[in-house]
Amino acid sequence: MFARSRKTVFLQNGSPPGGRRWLWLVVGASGVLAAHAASADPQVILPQGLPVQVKPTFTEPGLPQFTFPTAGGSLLGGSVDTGNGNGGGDGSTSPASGSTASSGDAYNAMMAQSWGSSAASAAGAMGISATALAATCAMESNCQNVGSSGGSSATGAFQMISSTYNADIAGAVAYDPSIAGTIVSGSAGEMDPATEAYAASYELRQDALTLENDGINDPTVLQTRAMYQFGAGAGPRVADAPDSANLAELTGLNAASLAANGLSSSSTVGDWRQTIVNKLGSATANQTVLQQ
Amino acid sequence: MYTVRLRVALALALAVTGGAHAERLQPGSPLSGYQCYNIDAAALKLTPEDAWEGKGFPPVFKGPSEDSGKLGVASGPVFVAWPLQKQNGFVQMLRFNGDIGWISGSVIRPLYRDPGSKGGCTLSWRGNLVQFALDPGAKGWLFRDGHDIPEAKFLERSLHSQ
Repeated sequence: MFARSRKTVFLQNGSPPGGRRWLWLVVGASGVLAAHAASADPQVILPQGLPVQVKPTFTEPGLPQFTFPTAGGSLLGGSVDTGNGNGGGDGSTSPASGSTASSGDAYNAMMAQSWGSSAASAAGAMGISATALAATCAMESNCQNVGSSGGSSATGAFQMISSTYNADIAGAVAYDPSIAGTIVSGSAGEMDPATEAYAASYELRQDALTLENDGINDPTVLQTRAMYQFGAGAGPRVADAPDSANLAELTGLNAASLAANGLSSSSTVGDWRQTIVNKLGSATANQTVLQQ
Repeated sequence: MYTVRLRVALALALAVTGGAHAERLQPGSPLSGYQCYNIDAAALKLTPEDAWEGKGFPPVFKGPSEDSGKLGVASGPVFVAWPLQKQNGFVQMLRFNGDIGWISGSVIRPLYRDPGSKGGCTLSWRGNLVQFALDPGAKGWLFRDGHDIPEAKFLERSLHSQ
């Protein structure tokens, strides 16, 4: 009825046949191109993370027993960059001889905490890998819910300063309003690891999306750490630079600032990457941040 | 007349659909036709705090016009086609992922460099990423004095558990 009325209006307006043909030409061409655009880059969109895994309580008769994995991060984690250079950021960095971390250490360290599984759920809700979130708490506090130290006001398992925490927890709630009822509100949330995990996950998500917006696809933990540590201006530069690049020439940081990270004015990007790899292990450092 | 309408229709269709996909350089393709520039913080009126937070970075478009569709933003460096390819006030550039885009010529500049040095950079592929290595004397800084990163913010995010 509605379509017929519109057609009537067109005819009553006295549009010439050529005008209608012209309209259909635009619509038709738009449709063809839209269909092409839609088919060119198929993407799976998982705004709330992966679907809940079905765990059968009663097994089917005749089937062998199956033990569901409880750790390892493969379910909540993204894909691991296997060194093909597709965003690893440290293609030439090999694990240091003094490396103390293996691939699952960060994830296991977080999951060993009473709040670990809640944090992993927070990562999923924000669309990031649980292993990537675990890397943050491993880097910042060895996944211990500690207070501020060393003159910094950063607190909690993810060592966030208040201004960053407040902005990120607000962003997290805006991204997924359903979490509002489950988090500890106010400044107390900063010392509740399960709540701070939402803010830290949102921060990681934003950093990874910023890198993607700059043309660095599927950013890894290591690349996103560059964003977090050097900011949105210098971060992508560090994420993209070769291991041999001088960090001071690239970022303008002075010797005193670099010394706060155990680096010097002669340190290279590879030296910085190695500090992360030493802490996390190569596989975790090259884990992609955003869930696929 | 029909041909003109057809062209206009296609142009409108491109506008409706956001345009065709960006042209992308395949990994391994020669990169000698590109050179490093940077975004011009002075022209963009950026402060180090803006840069830290990613505010005010210039957009990169699919074609040499704002109507062509946005690919993303550039935080620097900017890999410009060399010698510069200018159209309609825009300069052709390469993004980290090999996408070919266009950026306003008024918001980019050559790299800062030590007096007497040649400056510039050498590009190479690392997997699917275009990687840059600064030539001797060239600086990757956004600001002339090199103070790109607010020291207090950097120290707040320095490692707490070394």
